[in-house]
Amino acid sequence: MTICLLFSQSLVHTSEDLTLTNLEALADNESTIISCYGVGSIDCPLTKTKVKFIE
Amino acid sequence: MNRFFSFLFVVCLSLVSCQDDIYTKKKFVQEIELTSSQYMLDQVQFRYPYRIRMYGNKLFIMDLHGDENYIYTFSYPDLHYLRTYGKKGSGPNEILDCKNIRIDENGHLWMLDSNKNILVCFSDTEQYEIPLPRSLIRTLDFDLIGNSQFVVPDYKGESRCKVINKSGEIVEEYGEIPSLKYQNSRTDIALAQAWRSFLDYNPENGILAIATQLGEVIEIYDALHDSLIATICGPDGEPKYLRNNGFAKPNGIMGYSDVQVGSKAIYALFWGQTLKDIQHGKVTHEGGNRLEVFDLHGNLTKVYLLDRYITGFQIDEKTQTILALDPNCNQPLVEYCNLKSQ
Repeated sequence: MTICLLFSQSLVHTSEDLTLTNLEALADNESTIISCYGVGSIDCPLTKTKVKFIE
Repeated sequence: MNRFFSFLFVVCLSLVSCQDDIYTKKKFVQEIELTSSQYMLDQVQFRYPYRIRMYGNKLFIMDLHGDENYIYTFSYPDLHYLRTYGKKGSGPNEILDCKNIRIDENGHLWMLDSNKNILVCFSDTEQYEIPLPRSLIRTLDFDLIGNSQFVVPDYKGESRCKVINKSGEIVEEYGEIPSLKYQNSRTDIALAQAWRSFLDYNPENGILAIATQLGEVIEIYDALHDSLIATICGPDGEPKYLRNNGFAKPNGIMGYSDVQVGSKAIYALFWGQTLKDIQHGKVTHEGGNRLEVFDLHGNLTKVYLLDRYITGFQIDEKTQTILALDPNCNQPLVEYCNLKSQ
């Protein structure tokens, strides 16, 4: 099952438009979830975008 | 006295984090504070300036999260806007996801599009693509080897990096992930994800440097003789992660974000924030302010402490200046001068 959510979060204080934030979650079963948050430079293996951190 | 305890702390952490003699440990060295001067780039608004390259009197700046385009060029040093490259989009000749840029010997711009799995070359009049092997799965960085080959990190972990020719074929591979914790399973894809790295190759001396984004490890290869010169490990050690359904969930630090091999030194930009602090909003900036300088044998010789947090840099060893990108302000291009006199 794949769950995709979107929300916003300010990341770089001087760029208000830099609030593009995404969260993509993959749940292979109910106990296994990886989520990618924010805008940054870490490659998210799920969304294939650069994110702030992976949880 | 405080400096002595700091030194003792670093040494203790080094002993804990890098337990094996195959790692070269960072020794305490002189830290030199540098103050920047800021340039004005009036015509372009960057979202996340990440890579900077210079060729002749032309400056290339890559925006990792560009709105419409990924690369902007300017004349240097007068900084007049020239043009853009890499229009964002999924159509023909458009770029889905720009990870890095390089300039070849002829001044042509090369770009890595990870999501399209291609390398793209731009000249003033044309644009052509080189498909990357599907077996690589995903490529996160690249550098040029002369005019005919490229080196890329190995996302699958089968080796540390692979050499690709202009037909998109793998022709050579180097090394292995130097993990001590997982030394019996070094070809694992989750391990390779956690060991994602940035690399830089200097064709003049044949040195290839690889710096971990999520750890404090740098590897130095002699690519001409296909040998590992050194693996340098700092107090934060190798990338830490939790394995989750075949993926790596990093839980250590933000390590290096850019590396450059010079003629006699290797420069690496270190962040050092914990991912936990970033996750909890305790880190309000993007980038690092420790520019570490190693000799080509892997000995840390000095550390430049920058007055800004930067994401990418370009050092001109002849003029002893650093051009750098500070994504935390509206005018991201900054310069550090007179390194030799410091």
